[in-house]
Order: sequence, then structure tokens, then C-alpha cells
Amino acid sequence: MKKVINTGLAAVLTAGLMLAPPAWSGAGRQRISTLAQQRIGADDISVEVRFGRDLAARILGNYRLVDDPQLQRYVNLIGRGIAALAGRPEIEFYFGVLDSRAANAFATPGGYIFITTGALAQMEDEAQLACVLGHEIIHVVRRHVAQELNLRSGDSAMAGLAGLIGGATGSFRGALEHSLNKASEILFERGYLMKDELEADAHGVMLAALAGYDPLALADYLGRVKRFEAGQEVHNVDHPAYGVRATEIRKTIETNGLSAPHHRKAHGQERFHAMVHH
Amino acid sequence: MKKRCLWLAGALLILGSPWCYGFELYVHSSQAPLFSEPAAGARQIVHITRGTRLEGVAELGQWFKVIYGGHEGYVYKLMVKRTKPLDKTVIRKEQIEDLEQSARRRPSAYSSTAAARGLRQHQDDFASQHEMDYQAVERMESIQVSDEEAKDFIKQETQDEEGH
Repeated sequence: MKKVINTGLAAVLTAGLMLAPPAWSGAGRQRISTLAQQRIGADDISVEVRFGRDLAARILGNYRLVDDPQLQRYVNLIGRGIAALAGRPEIEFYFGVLDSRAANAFATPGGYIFITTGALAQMEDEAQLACVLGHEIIHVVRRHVAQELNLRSGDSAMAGLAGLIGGATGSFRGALEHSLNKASEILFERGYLMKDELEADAHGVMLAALAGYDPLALADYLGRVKRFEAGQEVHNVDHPAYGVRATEIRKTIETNGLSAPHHRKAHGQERFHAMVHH
Repeated sequence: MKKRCLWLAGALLILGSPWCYGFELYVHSSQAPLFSEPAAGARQIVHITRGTRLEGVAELGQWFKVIYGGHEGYVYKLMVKRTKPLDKTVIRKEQIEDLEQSARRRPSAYSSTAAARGLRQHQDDFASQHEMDYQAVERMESIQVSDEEAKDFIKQETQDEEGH
């Protein structure tokens, strides 16, 4: 009898240990990351949007919005259609076309996304636009700028920003200005961390593909920009090498079976040219 | 007594395991396709709308294996969360005004703070170069496009090409 009890006991313990998820496993880490995201509440998001709006105002103080309502609306239709597929319904995304010959796109926390006329000039079709906007949407969704600011302060990103924006003193304003400068450095000078760029590429092409566009369009666009930038004076060059990004994009496409002939791969060339080059 | 504790520990380990119960997930994207395999190129079983509760079974890289409406399938992780979706964040007008007034006061405040901290000169210069254009932000915000309108606009192109 004693032997039966001991065997049963051992079986229960073994089963328990086998079924319990190890904290050090990938799944364990993902759960911890998911839990960390859950702690971000409505107030934190409000802070994120306010900080991003401030940063957007600074960008628009330096670059002019193109005075073309049809083009602005077109980019918003594509951008918001892609953004609706990303999992941040609490954020309203806004898209603006900036008058600049440099081929660039950038996003501020809180959903303000910009693309330059120079970038549009390098694009061949709507799929490339969808992929580039998808990439920028992911920078917002995954809070890349906020996280980078967090890395510097050694505090939680949202708590850090909440502290900055929630205060009312001169020193708080100085600290906020400092954070805006740091965010501007990320967007215009230094670029994102390589892991963030690759994450934005991978999820960005997935969003474009789920909307029905050809995900390979991002690699095509990056190749065109690379050729365009050769011999030009480029300010924002700290992105991962084109080759690394293109390889990773192709890997995402292959892993997800998106290169199969039956998969929808719209390009929207005609409409893109009608809207952008009218 | 010792045996009873061991039994209890084993039972708690089993009952506490997420694989025993699954877990709750909610759709956050406007709609999430349920795929037959963890791949975006796989067959789409059904489209699930925002706010719908799913039963999570397992995590597989960028995918969750879930059960929904009697179907077992996979959803893209970016499209779901373990919490219910929040409403759109709206910043009140007075908050915006506070922020804009605060921004106008910032350059001098920044200069003194930066000086106190001994920050690099070029950062001072960088800060003072920047003007804030909130009117342009408002022009961006005034472009009204609903999720539904955007979805239909994209569909016009992606479905047309598919049909060709």
C-alpha cells in the first residue's frame, strides 16, 4: 500500500513539474513580457500620445506638410487600414506627407507617422507604401522610442514619461525637452536599435500581407532607396544594412508561406501613381 | 504530514499550469483571421472581430494557438492581448492647451536646466533650433478616416488585383 502511495506521489509531482512552464524558457519570457505590457493603462497611453504629439509638433516645426489634401487623405486611408490590423485600438493613428527630398519615414510615440515626398518618389506602388507605413506603425505599436528613452533613464518607459509630463516645474520642462531631443536623435540622427528595425520589418510586412499586399514590396523599396542614396548626402543612415534587412524580410515571408503562388499579392501600381503623381 | 504536503505541492503545480486551463485572449485588431496553421499564408478559417474573447491554448513564436467557436486554429500574436481592448485615447482640449503653453515656455527652461546639468553645447543648440508647429498637427488630426472606410479602400485594390 505504501509503495502505491509513494508511486502515486511521485507521478503527481513529476506531472506537475513537467506541466509547469519553466520561467527561463522562451514561453516563460514571453509571458513575462506580455504581463509587463498589461500593466500599461489608459493614463500611460494618454502620456504616450501627449509626448508623441509634442514630438510631432517639433517635426512639423522643421518640415512642411505637403499642401495636397488628396495625397494626404490617400496616405491616411492606406495607413489607417494597415494600423487597424495592429493591436492598438486605443491609439488613433495620423499620417502626414512631408515636403522633403530625403527618402525617409518616421513615427512618434502615440501614432503620428510621417513620410516624405522623397520616399514616395522612390516607391513604385501601393504595396511598397503599405509596407513602409506598416513598418512605422510597428515602431509605435511596440513602443520602440519610449523603450529607448527608458533604457537611458533606467526607469520604466511609461512611468518615466508620466513623470516628465505630469510635472509642472521648470526642471520638469527641461527634462521633457531633453527627452524630446533624445527622441529626435533616434528619429533623425542615430536611428533605432537594429533589433527594433528588424522587428518593425518583420511585423510590418506581415500587416501589409494580411491586408492583401505583396510583403516583398518592402525589400524592393529598400533596394531602391539604397540605390538612390548611393552618392547622396544622407542624414539618417544608421539603419541595419540593407542586405541584413532584405534577408530577414525574405525569411519572414518564407516562414509564413507568403511566397506561395496562391497567396494574394496586390501591388496597386495604377492607383498609387494616380494618387501620388497626379 | 510530509506526504500530504508533497501531494498538495504536486496538485498545485498541475492546477497552476496554464496548459491545464488555457488562457483568455481578446482580439485587439479590427479583425483577426483564424489560420489553420501558424503561418499567414495558411488557410483562413474565419475572421474574428475586435473585442471577441478567445481561449488560448499555447504560444508558438509569433502565434497563439486558440479555440474559437468550436474551431482550433492560430492567430497572429500582434492582433490579440490577454486584456480587453481599451477605448480610443482622447486628449482633452484643455490638456492640449496646457501642453502647448508649456512647450512655448520650454526653450529658456531647458537652457538653464541643461546648463545646470552640464549637458553638451550642441544639445543646447539642437533644442533652440526647434520650433513647435501645433497648427500643422491639428491639420493632420483633422483628416477623418474610419477603420471601415480605410478597410474598404484597401480592399478595392487588393481584391481587384486578385480577381485579375
